[in-house]
Amino acid sequence: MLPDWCAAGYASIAGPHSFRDYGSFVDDLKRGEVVAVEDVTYDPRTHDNAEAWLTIGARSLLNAPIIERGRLVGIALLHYAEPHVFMDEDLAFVRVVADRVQIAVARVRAEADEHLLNEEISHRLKNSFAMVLSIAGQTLRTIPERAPVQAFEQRIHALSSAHDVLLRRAWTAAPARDVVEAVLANAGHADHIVVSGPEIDLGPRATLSLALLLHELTTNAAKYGALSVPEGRVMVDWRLDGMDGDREVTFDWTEQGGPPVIPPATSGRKGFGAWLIKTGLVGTGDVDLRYLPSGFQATMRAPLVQLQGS
Amino acid sequence: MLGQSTPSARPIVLVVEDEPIQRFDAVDCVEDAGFEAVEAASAEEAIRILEARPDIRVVFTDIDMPRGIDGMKLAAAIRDRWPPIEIIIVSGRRRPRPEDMPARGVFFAKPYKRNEIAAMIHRMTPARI
Repeated sequence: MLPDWCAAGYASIAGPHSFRDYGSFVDDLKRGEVVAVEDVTYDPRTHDNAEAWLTIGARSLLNAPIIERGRLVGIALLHYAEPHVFMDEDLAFVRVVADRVQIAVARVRAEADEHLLNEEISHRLKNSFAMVLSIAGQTLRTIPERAPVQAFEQRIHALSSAHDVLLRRAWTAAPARDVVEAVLANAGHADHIVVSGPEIDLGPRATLSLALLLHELTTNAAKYGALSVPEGRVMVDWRLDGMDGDREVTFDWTEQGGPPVIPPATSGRKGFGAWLIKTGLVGTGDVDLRYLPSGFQATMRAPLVQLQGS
Repeated sequence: MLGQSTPSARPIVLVVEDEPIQRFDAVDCVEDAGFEAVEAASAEEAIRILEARPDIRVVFTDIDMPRGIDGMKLAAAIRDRWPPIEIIIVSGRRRPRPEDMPARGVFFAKPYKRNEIAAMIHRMTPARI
């Protein structure tokens, strides 16, 4: 279909029109009936308003109602500048136009509804995050040791920032760069981190997983690594290897300019943060941690299909 | 006592939030940061408090309050009637467009960080000489 196309010799009739200017057959349309007028100057339903019809180049017309849930929501109008005896094919044509318009309008409406619903879900989700933080804050208020309480709050914020990125495309996918940048900005270290990598869309599960993982790496770097000193830098980059269905994504975290690197003690039960890092992207466990003199490095790999799945 | 302002060394912050748990926590956040908090569960209540006491320096309001006036309309009313008051707006919805924000108003997305709110109130209330 072409927007506002007109047959040769006809002017566009785009614009608002009022039913009462054009005769008395709206009730027929409301009942779902097709209205055919062979000559507006003779037909009793239009002859009092014939001038209005002739002005828009309609001596004869065919009106097909567009009904949605029992309500008249639109009309497909076929008109000729001359009197015209309508045939079955005219009727079929105008019906097809009406049906197509109805489908197109319904799709636009459904998209608008979906958008509204997403906004509402997002709003409720963020409010729930706010509630969780308020309840935790008050419940743990008297705990003298503040570090675990802060770690909890910061992890919830990291999760919430990942949800923000997912919301932009209705929770279907999130660009890897946006996720990385949102998490780093949330941690307050965006200025000291250089981000590079090809455009990759991550699925919701990988988005949340990467967000929590990056948050732990950032937190550690701020406590012990390159982000604990003003001149320290972190490079976050990723690449795609392999072909077709076997493509694999490799994320590299490289710290530079930090204090001397001391590998953490390996004895005893690992903390949750260390566990989150070890678990890797979407739980693949494919993680390589290197405590080099130049700085801490982490390499995490996962198949692209796993990162893009829901 | 309503209508009578108590002299206070600490700047006074009016917290407007219809959700009780979040209001309780916001009041706590404001007090933890060293300010005196006054609370309102609706924009209408906030207006009544502002009409009664002239000593409020900052209003910290949620946008989404389903019954009555929302936080954006409250902020616009404050900017109109009490120009010196500083305004912090929070919401779980999208960031308001800049043209909808009151002059000098600051927005934080929910869930906000307590330390960022505290730092902002400090910045908004320099000691008066």
